[in-house]
Parts: sequence; C-alpha cells; structure tokens
Amino acid sequence: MSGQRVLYIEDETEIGEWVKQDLEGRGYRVTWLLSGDGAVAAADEADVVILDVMLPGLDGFTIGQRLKQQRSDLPILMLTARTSLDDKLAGLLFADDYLTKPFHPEELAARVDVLLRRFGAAAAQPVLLGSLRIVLEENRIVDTETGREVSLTQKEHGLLALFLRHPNQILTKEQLFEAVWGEDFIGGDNTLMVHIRHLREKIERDPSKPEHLQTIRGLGYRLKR
Amino acid sequence: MKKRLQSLLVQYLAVVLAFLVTLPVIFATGVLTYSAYLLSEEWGDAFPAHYTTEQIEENAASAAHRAADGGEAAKRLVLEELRSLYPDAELFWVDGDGHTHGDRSERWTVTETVQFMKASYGGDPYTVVKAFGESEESGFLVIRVPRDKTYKSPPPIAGWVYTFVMVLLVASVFLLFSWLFFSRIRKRLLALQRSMSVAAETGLPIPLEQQRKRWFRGDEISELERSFNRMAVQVQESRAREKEEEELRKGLIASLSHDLRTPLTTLRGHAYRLQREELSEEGRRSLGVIDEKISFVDRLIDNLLSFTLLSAGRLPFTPERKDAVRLLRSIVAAWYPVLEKEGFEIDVDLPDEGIWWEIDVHWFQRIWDNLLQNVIRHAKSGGYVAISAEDGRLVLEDRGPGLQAATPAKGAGVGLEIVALMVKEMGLHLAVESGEQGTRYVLCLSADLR
Repeated sequence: MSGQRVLYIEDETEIGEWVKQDLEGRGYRVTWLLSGDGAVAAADEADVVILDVMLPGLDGFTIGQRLKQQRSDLPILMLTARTSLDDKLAGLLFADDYLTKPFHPEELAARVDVLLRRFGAAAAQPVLLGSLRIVLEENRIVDTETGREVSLTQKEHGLLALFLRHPNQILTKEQLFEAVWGEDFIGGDNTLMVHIRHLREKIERDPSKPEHLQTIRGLGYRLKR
Repeated sequence: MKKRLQSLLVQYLAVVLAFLVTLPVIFATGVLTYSAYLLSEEWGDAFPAHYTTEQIEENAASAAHRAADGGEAAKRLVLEELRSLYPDAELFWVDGDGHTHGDRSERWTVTETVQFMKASYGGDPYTVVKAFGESEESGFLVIRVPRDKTYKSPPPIAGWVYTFVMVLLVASVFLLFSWLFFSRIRKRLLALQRSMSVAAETGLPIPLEQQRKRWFRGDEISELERSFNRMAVQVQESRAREKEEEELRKGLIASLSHDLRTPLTTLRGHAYRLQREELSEEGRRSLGVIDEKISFVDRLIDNLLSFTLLSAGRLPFTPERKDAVRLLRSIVAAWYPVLEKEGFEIDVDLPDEGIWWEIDVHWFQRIWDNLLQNVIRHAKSGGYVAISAEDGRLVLEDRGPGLQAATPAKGAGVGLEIVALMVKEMGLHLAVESGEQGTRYVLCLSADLR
C-alpha cells in the first residue's frame, strides 16, 4: 500500500505540517499545497486529493470541481471545519468523501485508504483478515494457515466488498440489501440472512461463532478487522 | 380639497348630474317626436285617424250642417259620403215627422225618439245624433259606429309605446352613464387584483403602472394603487435585505465555525503527536481527557451554531414521509462503536415493521445524535442503553443517575434545547422520565397523545 501519492491542499500550516508528517509516516507520498494555485497541475501526479474548503483565493469547492472536471477518476476527500448541512451537501455534489475538523488522524488515513481502494489505485492489493488473504479483484480468498482456498458467488462477493469498504462499521440490513441487490428491502425477507450464512461458511473458521462477520442484534452486521 | 373633488363619490355625483342635465334633452326629443307622430294624421291601419270619437262627431256635425238647408236628396248625399268613410256604420236620419230614412225605415213617436236617445247615450255602438237645423222639424242625423272600432284620440297604443320608450330611454341613458363609470373602476380594480395574484406566484408583488389620466390620479383607487406600489417596493426591499442578512449570518457562522475548529484541529494534532511519545500512565490519561474535551467542544460548537440557526428559523427543513425505525437503526448503527467503546451494554430491539412519520431526516438524526451524546455523557455509570420501537413509539433508556443528578460533564443544555425545538417543529412529542434508576425518553407523534 506504500507509495500512494496524496495531494493535500491546506492553508493552516500547523495542521498541514502534522497531517503531512502523519500520512508520510503511514507510507504515503504527500504533496502539500498552501492554496489552490497549481492544484490542477499537481493533480496529474496524485492518486487521491485531500482538500480544505476555506482557502485563500479560490475556495475548496471550486478547486474540487475543477479537479473533477479534469480527472473524474481522481478521488477527492473534503476536509473542512464547516459542518453546516448546506456545506456538506455542496461538498458531496462532487467530492467522494467528507471529513470535518477536528478529525482523528486514524480516521483520515482509514478514509483515504477506502477511497484509494474504491477507485482502484490500490488494485489487486491483498487484504488481510485474520489469517485470510483476500484479493477481491481476483475473487480469491486463501487461508494462510490452512491453505484452504474459496471463491465467492456474485452476491457474497458484493457483500464482502461492501464490508471491506466499511470496516468496523455496522451496516444495517436495509443498507446491505439495497446496496447489493439494488432493490428495496422488505421486512421479514430472509434472503440476506441466507447469504450472510453462506459467506460465513467461507470466511469463518467456526461459522456458529463468527470472529470477523458479527451480527449486531436489532441493527445489522459488522466486519471486524 | 383637491382630494375631495376627485373622490369617487364626487365623480359619481358628476355622473348623476350629467344625467340630470341630459334629462330635459331626452324629454324634449320625446315630446317632439311624439307631436310629429300625432300630426302625421295616419297612425296606421289599425287606428285610422277618422275613427276617433272626436273625428266622427266632427264629420257628423259637418255633414248635418251641409245638408241642413237641402232636401231629401242632399241628406241622402251626405249620408252616402259618411258611408264611404264609415262603411261598417249604421247611418240614417229622422225627419220632422218621425220617419227614419237610410238604414232604417220606421216611424218613431216622440217617446220612441227620446228612448232611442237615452238608450244610445254612452252605449255600444257609439252613436252620434246631429240636428239638421235649429228647429225641431228639420230632423236629425244618426251615425252609429261599433264601439270597438272607435277610440279617443290619441290612439291608445301610441300613448303606451310613448311611455315605454321614454322610460326605456331614460333608464338606458342612466345605465350607460353608470356603466361607463363603474366599468372603469372595475378595470382598475381588476388590474390591481391581477398584479396581486402575480405576486402570489413569484412571492413578490409587482408595482402597478401609474394612472395616466389626470382626473383619475386623485381618487381612492389611485390611492390604493399608490399604497400597493409602496408596499410592493417595501416588500422587495425587505426581501433583498433579508437575503443579505441571511447571507451575512451564514457567512458569519461558517467563518466562526472555521475559526473555532482550526485551533481544535491543531490541538488534536499535537495531542496525537504526544501520544506517540514515551509517557507516564498519568500523562496518557491526561491526553485521553484532552482528546475527549476536544470532541466535546467540537460538538458544542456545532450545537451552538445549529441552535442559532434553528431559533432564527433558518435551519433548512424539508420534511418527508420516512420510516423512523429504519432511520433510527442506521443512526444507532453509527453510534454503536462509540457506545461499545465507552463500555455500554447495548440492547437494541427495532422490529422490521416501520413507523412512518413526516420528518426531516437530518433533524431526526440530530435529535438522536444529541440524545445519545447525552446518554454517553451522563449515563456512563449505568453502562446500559436500550433502544426499542413499539406501538408507534421510539424509546431510549439508560441506567444513569438521572437528569437531575449533577454529573461531571455538564453543559447538555444546548443539545437538549435543540432536541426540544426540533421535536416540536416536526409535530413530535418527547416524554422524558428521569429518576435515580435511569432515564427513559419516549418519542412519538404529538397527534397520538390525544
């Protein structure tokens, strides 16, 4: 995962410095700009953009839109101190994610990681889940301890991909069903439960006592990493 | 004084006056046409001029006069003359001896003559008796015309028509004057009404064009139009001002939010860096507190700004029909890791059956964010939180020391204040029961309470 190029635009030098340090500590190559000047040119050399909203000169929204026009495949994460709903909606019109200050550096790193994965810059990078080595793009899951290898059906693949995109987050039944099946979830439908059980049989050592894919009663499921 | 002169009342009085001035003209014209009609001699086939009772009498008198000195031949001649004029009449004369000639040949005694006279007077047929001369012996001429053919001059129908036409003329002239007056008022009122209803569509009234005619500039409708225009301009101005103020407020809140959060972010960055240094257990605990306080201040800023907007009625509000259980499930899902980390035992009982409410999704989320935040801050000691839905109610329970108890983390005021405002605005009701054993929040439709 190392060597991914991050374009970071932030005018607050104190914040900028430690974010740059932190991300570099995590193995990213960071280009830090103090304003939107030169952002379009620098975007060619980036895999992901972290963008502040309040900048001298052009604001973050404008810069983000320009970047998206130029390279629609470039993920953009808005990083801002503005939390009003209007601002969030304006940001999400073009940006791929949104994080408000004051943020935890772990959360920023995790989100950048998810964005890169979603946009394929981290293509074919294996994910480690316990003793499992998962290469989703190739639909290959190998237990490094037992050597057992499994492949997933289309729905199971969709579910696991969704869980990996939102590690440690609870996904509700509705969210899962609607994202993977593309249909409205109807209460009492067992389809999801059946697929979760099949997925557990493939990724859990003991499906009756799942270590990774947890059931959260009354809410949904969560993938622990 | 000028205003008085141009008021609608004066205008209408002028209309009435103009009508009164034209009245004599109307009457003069009527009388003149009617006289011309009377003088024209012929009133049509139904009413030949010589059949009026006056004319019959006159013709009879003239015939008797002309034949007075003549003999029987002369009398027969005038009789024939009269017959040609009145073919349907009975014509005869009575000589001095009581013999009748012409249409009757009888012999009348004096008594019979008197009886005839008596019977004929005022009866049908209309009878005219004219003596031929001064003396009784010269005899008399009799003409009897059926009553239904005769009439008194002027012809009755003509008189009726005259009255009718006059009344009609006078009335229609008055109506015309009034109509001209009121249709003008109506047109102007309609124009006013139109520009007001255009206003309803765009939300802003459009000023009217000023009356061009000088006479109308002073009346009440013009006053109304001017007032309306003044109002329209004021509304437009105040709308612009309001918009400006809103922009200003939004800008202020945005920069306030930015200015407050930037140092917080820096603080967190430094705290994070410290965390990776070699630290004593105490130092590590202090860092944890710092981090927690940063989050607290962050939420406080958010709530304060939201509260400012909310109490000014400026927080966007778009209610939709949504499944509240489903929304609550995703909200709790997001809070689950936090509650878990704080050591809460979490008991969720949210069935698949939805509860459909007319709510703003973001507001609903804010309500639960604030409630759950409150639980984490004040009910941590209870270590238990339950979220359930039943009978159209959403219930949140904790085992904290209760809201009355003083807890180390105070300052929930704004958060719950926001909850109260939002709940009320969305037509919901939040019941809070708090005791030493814990707090129970029940959210339901306020309509369901009754």
